[in-house]
Amino acid sequence: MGWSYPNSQRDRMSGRNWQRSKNDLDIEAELEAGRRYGLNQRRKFMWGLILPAFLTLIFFEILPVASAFWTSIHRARLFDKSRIFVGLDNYLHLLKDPHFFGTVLPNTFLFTFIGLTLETALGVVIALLLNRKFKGETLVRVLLLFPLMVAPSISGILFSWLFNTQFGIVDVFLEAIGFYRVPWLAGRWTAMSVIVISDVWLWTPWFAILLLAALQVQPLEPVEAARIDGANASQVFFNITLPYLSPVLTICMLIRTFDLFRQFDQTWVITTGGPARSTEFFSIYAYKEFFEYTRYDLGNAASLLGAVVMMIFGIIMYRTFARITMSEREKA
Amino acid sequence: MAERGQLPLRGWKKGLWGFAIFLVCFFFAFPVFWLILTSLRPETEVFYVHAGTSFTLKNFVGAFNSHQFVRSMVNSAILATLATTCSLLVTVQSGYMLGRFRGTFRNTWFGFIYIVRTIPYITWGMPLYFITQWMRIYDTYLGLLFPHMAVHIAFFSLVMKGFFENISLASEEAARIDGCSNWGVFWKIAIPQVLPGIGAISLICWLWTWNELLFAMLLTSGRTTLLTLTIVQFVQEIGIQWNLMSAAAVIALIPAIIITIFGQKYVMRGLRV
Amino acid sequence: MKKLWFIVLILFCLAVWAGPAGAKVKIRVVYQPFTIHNQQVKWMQEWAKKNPDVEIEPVPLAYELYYPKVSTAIQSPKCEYDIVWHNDDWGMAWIDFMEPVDDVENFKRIPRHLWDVFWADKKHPRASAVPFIGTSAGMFYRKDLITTPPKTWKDVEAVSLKLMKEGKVKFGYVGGVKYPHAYFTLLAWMWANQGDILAPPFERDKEVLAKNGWKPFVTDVTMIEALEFWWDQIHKTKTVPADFVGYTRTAAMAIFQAGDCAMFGEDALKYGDVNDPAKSKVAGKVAFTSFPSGPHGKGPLSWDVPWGWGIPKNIPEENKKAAKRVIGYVISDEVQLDMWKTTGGIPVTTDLREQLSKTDPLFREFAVATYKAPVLVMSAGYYPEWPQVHSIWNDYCIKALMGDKKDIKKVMAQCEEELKKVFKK
Repeated sequence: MGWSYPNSQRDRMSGRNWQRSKNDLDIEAELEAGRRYGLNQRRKFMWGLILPAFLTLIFFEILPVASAFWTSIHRARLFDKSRIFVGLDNYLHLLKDPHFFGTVLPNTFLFTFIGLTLETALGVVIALLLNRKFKGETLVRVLLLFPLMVAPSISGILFSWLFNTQFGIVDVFLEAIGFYRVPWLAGRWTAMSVIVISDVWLWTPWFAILLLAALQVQPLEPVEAARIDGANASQVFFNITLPYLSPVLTICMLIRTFDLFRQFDQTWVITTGGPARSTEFFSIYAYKEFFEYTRYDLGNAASLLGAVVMMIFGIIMYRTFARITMSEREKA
Repeated sequence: MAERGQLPLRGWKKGLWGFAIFLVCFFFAFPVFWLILTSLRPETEVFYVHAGTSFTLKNFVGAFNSHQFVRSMVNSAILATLATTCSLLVTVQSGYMLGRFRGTFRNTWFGFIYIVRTIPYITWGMPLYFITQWMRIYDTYLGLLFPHMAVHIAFFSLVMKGFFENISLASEEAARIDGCSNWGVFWKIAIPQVLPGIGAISLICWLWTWNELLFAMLLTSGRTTLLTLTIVQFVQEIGIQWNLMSAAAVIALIPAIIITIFGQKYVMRGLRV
Repeated sequence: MKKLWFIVLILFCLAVWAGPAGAKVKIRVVYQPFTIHNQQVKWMQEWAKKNPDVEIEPVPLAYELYYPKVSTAIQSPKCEYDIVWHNDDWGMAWIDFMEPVDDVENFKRIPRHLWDVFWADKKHPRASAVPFIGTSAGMFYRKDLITTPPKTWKDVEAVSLKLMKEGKVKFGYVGGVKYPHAYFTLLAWMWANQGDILAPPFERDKEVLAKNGWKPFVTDVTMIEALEFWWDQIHKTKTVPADFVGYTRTAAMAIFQAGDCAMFGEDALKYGDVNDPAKSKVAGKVAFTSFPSGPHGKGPLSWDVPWGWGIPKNIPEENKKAAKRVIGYVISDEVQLDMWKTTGGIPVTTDLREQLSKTDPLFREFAVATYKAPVLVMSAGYYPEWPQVHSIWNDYCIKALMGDKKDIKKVMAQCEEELKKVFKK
């Protein structure tokens, strides 16, 4: 009762060939036709296509990153304009800073991991629950869309209001059922829970909707075959549905990992990194260093460290999941 | 209930399923409902929203009258529309290049976009604080437009690539044989076929810019006020006026609601990877 | 498609197009949108109506963003703001970039102590900002529940417990605790116990502090006692809400306005907000007094510090002249009287203060509680590193309050180490 890619496909997935699509031969024909117009013209066309995007990215993403790097290897404070070269001093300062290493980075990684797990799991569960025809289907889908319309900063305000110890509905409810009022935003882990909940609320529907869209075009023959062989629901799920969903799931997880790691809006609004800087993530830390303490060099160094971690992670993920992210058409 | 590859539910399983669906709906809809309820309570009653019985629309009037609220809304709307239009004009071409070509040049561009996409906003946003001042576009539409475009490009080039890979080459081939230039094929043949996808992407772009906070914090300082920042300032500055803040947040939601409900079909259809 | 490009081009041009320059002098005023400032800016605009050669453009900026944004602006070769709000805290950090303003009209009527500590030093003997309102702070209390205002910490705790037992209120004293709102709890308590962040306590002269090596004073018994008091209130007697350490001043005010607590520490000018029937359930039941004294204290405490308007150096001469005219107007009697009546801020000119003390009983009550209090402190540090020092100190205090009572001394020792690093260039 296993299901996996047929042999012919697996051959095509190895090495760089995975990039080829069903339209491979057509593309070859196109390139051939392109050659009729000359290589130069093709090159010019490609450049023409990407030039505006290229320029925007160069001036507004690469240039700032280079500037950040330059600032981070000099002394750059608000009232100290000396700009002396200090090498990697700022980075060493960060790595030796017990707060950065012991609180900020663990917070960020923990938040990313927990958020990702919850959002993925809930997204899959909800997609499965909704993968049926039933009355009121549209209403449920519309309700599921609500979080997608809300700005992250507004959802942060919303949840800090809901979890307000004096006036928020959650603590009023907890008190009503005999529990005590939890001082949510006064402790590290309780405040972190509020941030996680607000993020899960915000992004699970995104997962759910994309997975649902994929489920609704799932080819049903393998499922029928498995059923006839006597498989039960969970066996069908783990051996057929889950592998089928893995391309979409992996892309979604990848996108969310990047976004969770660099999260700023909700945390800023709910706790501004407090109490006593215990819920700081690396983006909040970088922002505070840059704007509140006006230590531009440290702020840039912190943000660059985070960027490097993300870039390395991105490259690893790209290599590992390149095969799985191959688009759907390419399977049988 | 018909299945889609799933066994029909009977008895207690059906009840459990129904309860699960109810929980899901409750969890995702309740906070927004609570926000709307809070915005309808007068100021003294906002401390005990659940217990109060009076409703008022004064909060919405108060929100509209508060300093720079309308101006922020207009600014955000203009910026979102500008950013979406310009981004699309640029991203579609980039996606086409990724979808139609192969080879080292294209792969380099792909890798470039992929890496750029992993860079956290704070890393390239903070230096922009100084760079936009140097370029004299700090705290203007242009100063905000380009960073938002950069984000849109990085995000949606890859999605556009998927769209272009899905449409057939035959029509393009035919047009080329008829003597159509490369650009002609692009504009007249390829783009019309991916319009639903472009529609979906434009909605998401618009909403992203409308809802964005970090660049608003970094790159404005009072001249080009944006809505998200204005609302956040409500809570941190002028007393905790939760009633006004909720009203402001509800007002900010309205364009998003309109766009989402209107466009949800396109989004679902267009995002099929 | 070509039409689309055209439309985009037009939109671009519209977006880039700046307003045409006029014959008027445009004065951009940047400030935090607080009631006091809003009222001042309103008066500036009134003045501009009577003086059509000047145009006032208000630029409100959130408090959290204010300091770094304006600090950067005043250092650029052409500052984009012509009048900046000067908190007493930032005087020393900005002193090199501000224009001397003691030639402004009405300036001579302002008492010296309201500007020379914050906005002048040996290198810059002329005032670098003009005080436009006196702010002071103290304790609001429910006069229907408390007959004699508490004068010591013990009184506060006793009356809180009594009222809570009688079920009349849920909590005793609330105030802001989170950075930078701790003036009315942690800082006020520390000062009321003759403690301070740097040694010697209450010293504000940079030279003396530098000679003393910028030595922190946070492990002294005065600081520890203050922290232990609050620790007890949070964990033992529970006279403050459980999430006390996360409170902003506005969250605390919401609790007082809802009628859930008996005492509330804040700026005196919040009187309008807590006494407004449209906003507060305790309107009409509010009185005001100084902060209570601690075991080592010398009496109830308050302060008399100004907020000011400053003029950056890097703006055109005509802007500077126009700005000075405007500022001269907003410290005149007409405006200052209105400020007291509408916002509760304390006028800055000596003769006006005396006059109001004689004629207005409410002002007398506030005067006795604030600038005539037995012990007066300068409510911040007036050296460039103050914002950082304040933030670090606040973080460690909250950490101490969240941990065990016996660890408070250890945490403040860590704070001392951290503060020493700030001054070690």
